[in-house]
Amino acid sequence: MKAKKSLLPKSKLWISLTLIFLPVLLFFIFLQFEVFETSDVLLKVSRIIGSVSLFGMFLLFMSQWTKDDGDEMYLQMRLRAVLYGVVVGITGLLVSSVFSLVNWLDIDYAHYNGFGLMFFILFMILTNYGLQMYALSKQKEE
Amino acid sequence: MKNNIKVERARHNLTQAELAEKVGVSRQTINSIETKKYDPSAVLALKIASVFQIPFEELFQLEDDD
Repeated sequence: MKAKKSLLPKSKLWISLTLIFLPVLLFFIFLQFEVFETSDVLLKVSRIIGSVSLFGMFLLFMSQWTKDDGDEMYLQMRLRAVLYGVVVGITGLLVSSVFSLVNWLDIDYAHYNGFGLMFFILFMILTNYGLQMYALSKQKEE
Repeated sequence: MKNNIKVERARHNLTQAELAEKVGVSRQTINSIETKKYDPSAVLALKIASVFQIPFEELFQLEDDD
């Protein structure tokens, strides 16, 4: 079906995984060599690394996970996962904002930013989609 | 939405995988339709009906909660 063509083939799954993990690995290696002179440079570089990793997570979501992945049912599963991720993300933001307002649990929420929220949403989307795929794999052939 | 895919499949001596290949979807999708976990699109439903050469409404029927 047409939906299959809009996905990255399973053979190219390594691209998204590399985009997720390689920048993070390089960042930790650079930290060892003290490449970053100021914390300002470190912040800017970490933002670029974060962006590349988030793009990798998005590519992973748009990749074929199995050879069957890509027909209309899988498209609906992706839609369901995205809705779940957005709802959980917004709920999480709301709850953390309220906690921050009432100073409950004495946690500093100042570090909450766009990257953190985007990572959380993408992570929840991938987790939900993965769980749906796992449930499908348990189906027995008749 | 209830369906008679399993009955028709047995009548035509087809496995889920064979039917899936004929209509261009995965075996899991056929399984999910049979077990009412997934409602197919109109295009897919018509394709399945054409494989069994029966009218669409004979293969799929609406239920009260649809």
